[in-house]
Amino acid sequence: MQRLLILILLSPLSLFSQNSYGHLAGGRSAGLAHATVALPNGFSTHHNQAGLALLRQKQVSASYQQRYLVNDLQLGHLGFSTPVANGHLGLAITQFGFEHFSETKIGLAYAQKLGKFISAGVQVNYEQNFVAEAQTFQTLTFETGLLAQVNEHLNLGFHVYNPTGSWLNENAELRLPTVARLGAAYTFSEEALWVAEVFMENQLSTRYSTGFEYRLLNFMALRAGLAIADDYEGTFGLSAYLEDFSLNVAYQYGFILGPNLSYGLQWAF
Amino acid sequence: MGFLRALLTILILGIGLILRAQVPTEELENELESLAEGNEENETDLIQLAENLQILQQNPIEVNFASSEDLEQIPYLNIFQIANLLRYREETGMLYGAFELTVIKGWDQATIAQVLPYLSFATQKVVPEIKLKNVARYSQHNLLARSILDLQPRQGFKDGSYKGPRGNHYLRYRGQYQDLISIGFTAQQDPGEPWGGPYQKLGVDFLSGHLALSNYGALKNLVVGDYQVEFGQGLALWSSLAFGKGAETVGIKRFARGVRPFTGAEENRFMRGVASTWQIQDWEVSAFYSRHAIDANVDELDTSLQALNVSSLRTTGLHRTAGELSGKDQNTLQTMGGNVNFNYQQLKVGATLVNYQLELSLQASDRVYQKFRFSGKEVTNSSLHFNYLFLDLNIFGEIAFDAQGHSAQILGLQSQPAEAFHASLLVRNLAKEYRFIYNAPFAETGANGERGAYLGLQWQLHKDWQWRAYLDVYEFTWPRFRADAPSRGNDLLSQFNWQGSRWLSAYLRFRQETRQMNSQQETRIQGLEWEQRYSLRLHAVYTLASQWRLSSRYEHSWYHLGSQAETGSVLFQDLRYQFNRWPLQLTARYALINTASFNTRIYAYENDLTYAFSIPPYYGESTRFYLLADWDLTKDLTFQAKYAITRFFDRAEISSGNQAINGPVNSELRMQLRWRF
Repeated sequence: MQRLLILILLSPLSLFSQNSYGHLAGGRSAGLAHATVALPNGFSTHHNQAGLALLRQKQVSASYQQRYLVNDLQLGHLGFSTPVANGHLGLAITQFGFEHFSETKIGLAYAQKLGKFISAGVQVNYEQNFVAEAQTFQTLTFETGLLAQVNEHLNLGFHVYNPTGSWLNENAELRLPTVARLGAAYTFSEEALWVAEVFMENQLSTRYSTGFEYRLLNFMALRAGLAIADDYEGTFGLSAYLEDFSLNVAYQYGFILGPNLSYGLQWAF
Repeated sequence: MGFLRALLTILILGIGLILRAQVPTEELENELESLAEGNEENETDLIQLAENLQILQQNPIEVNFASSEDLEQIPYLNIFQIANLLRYREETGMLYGAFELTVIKGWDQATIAQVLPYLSFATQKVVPEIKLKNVARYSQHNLLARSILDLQPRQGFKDGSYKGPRGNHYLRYRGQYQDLISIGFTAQQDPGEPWGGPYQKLGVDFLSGHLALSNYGALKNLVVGDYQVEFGQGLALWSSLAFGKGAETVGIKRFARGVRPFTGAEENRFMRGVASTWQIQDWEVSAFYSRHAIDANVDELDTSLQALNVSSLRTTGLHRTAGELSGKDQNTLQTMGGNVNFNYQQLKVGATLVNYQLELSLQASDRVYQKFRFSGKEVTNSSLHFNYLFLDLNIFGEIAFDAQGHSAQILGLQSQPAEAFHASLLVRNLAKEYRFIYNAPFAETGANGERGAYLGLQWQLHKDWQWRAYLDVYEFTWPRFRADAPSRGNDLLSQFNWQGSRWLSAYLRFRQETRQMNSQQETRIQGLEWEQRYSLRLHAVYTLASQWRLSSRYEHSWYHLGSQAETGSVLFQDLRYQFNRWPLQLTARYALINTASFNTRIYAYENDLTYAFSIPPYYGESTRFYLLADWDLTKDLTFQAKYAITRFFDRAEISSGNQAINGPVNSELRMQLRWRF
């Protein structure tokens, strides 16, 4: 009964918005309030594929999030990316939900530098929406992004998911959201980073977020962020770096919806 | 050593300025966009402004011989910069290059880079001769053909209400010999307008043309055909459209250009006949006569009175349905008048007289808010105007009357007490009874007994930071549309411009528009309540490796009327790429739009075909995408195409009535061929 109630309550977020801001993944990103559209890293397959073009190593990324500390609202993400001849190729799987309800997205991404200072990326997704004892829907979507290195400190990023407004299922009137994100990442020094972003979705209020990262020690970084949409959200993050690995933990607290915990792992090789 | 360093500095600066000056188009686009912001419906004037700048670029102003009036044609220069340039020239003699401009007070690098394409530093006055051989050999011709097609048929085409085909077609020729001779014609056909008989006597719906001779001895201008006239501050006579409040916060003074050819496509706002201006020493005399058919709604013939009456004049220029076609050219407007200007050093005074006569009488309206609208057959306006520059203070104004003695006044003041600071103040007072036909004063609407005061500021806070702001407070002493009582309002704009580097700039703009409107609440006595619109915009433009130009924008808008409150937002990304291998440029935009209704609409300037300007309102739950290709087939021949698509998520039908599209998608294809020879 409790599960059913939660499903009903969260259905506007979860049923129709696989890529909406209820489903942003990544431990480092969560610590920065997910203002990371202009920040290239292993999670670029999830936030802005254009960022992949700036990565020189193979990356494996994984994250897990328990929304509102409820066991049934789990978000898992697994990504892999590798440099290829002229660009960078990525594969990512994201899944949200529990045994009776789940949304799965499998994306294949390609990114390339279009010049010295600009990169673009595109990802084709297979998406599946499963509700127990109901119909399962599948569809193909795409997303695309740009990343501009305006100067040595400033990156600007733009990303759009489902630009053509695809339906998950037109007969059932299940439309996938269209999401556009515009953001900046400013590197003060090797240790300090500031990010900010506007996240706009056609079915929800615009989300504004900003975050700050400080690499306090060579093996440790601290993060804090703030997001404003219908809910206010404060985020805190911590990273531990060990050679090619980084482990990220983030705590997000929504004033209305409560706490989230995110864990992330990245391996660059 | 010192001399060498100075020389080197001047050379580097000079080269830098010249390099920067080669790309005025982007500046022009920004300028047009910011001018267009508050003037969403006045697209036609953008065409004329863009064309004037283009002509100016082909025939740059000779700095060493130019008058202040010549220099006023460049929109980026203010009166103080012009006066300082003339003073410098008087004191030091001729200018030999752009580097000299840097030492003139008020001429900063940004201004110089903007105006350089429009200036020439010739030290000998070239007086071109009008010989047929020269005219034939050295004239520049510009031919432009454009077609626009809505890819989804509108209701009016489906049910046959629109009598013509779906395409929008435009053909335009302009020939120019120096700044001496101009000849041109424009033909336009809107979508749904029928070709040829029985509806169109001339084959197309709108045809316009002119032949003009300018700057020939004492003859400043002679235009036969279609033309515009602008005098004073636009209170008595200003036949073209003019800009209102926008991001250009201090440049609010009207620069009347007198008589000039009409090359736009505004079908109901121009003169047709003959006009001329002569300059004799410090005197400038203009006279004009115009007579042409205009659209009107004609009432049924009243047999008892044996007279035709018109209930209103039509200004849309659209003739698609039987109703619209029946009103086409149903009345005739005759306009005649003149203007005298006298220049004495920094003082300019002038007087204008204009008389309008309609063939068919315009009925008085029975609506209260239109009580003082012009009715009958005849309107006469007269005015006195002046402009005086005293050191860093410029004062200007106009007082105008109609034949019944009702008056309207404008008084303005602008000053640049320090190089970094520029302020403008303007007050206007128009009697509610004051009647006019073609006027365009700087005002909110310029009708219904408007009174108001405007204060505009521009402040260079720092090398990279500029602040622009205005505040305008106004009242209407008579009811107006959707306000059944005298009402008030105020507008505010505050904008910070940041120029991070040559390649990166951004601005943050806050705008507020507040006015009183009829209350929406159902009470027995309907009062007024405040309608408020706010918008906050962040816009960044950045160029990467010269081939890429990107711009990003986020804008949020709020709307309040009584207890009704709505918000809206738009996020877009623009991308422009100039190919190295081919003379091809691609421009694309993707925008995500989410506004609660049309109230929170957000206007955005779109890149378009040359001379076609597009500033559509973004509204609803929708996305918009466009791709514009600009291909120079040869040095003189350019082909442009634009494909644009809007998808709505919140409706199954777009627009209404004859314009309705059955479906959530609206797309169009625009193509244009431009030949310069």
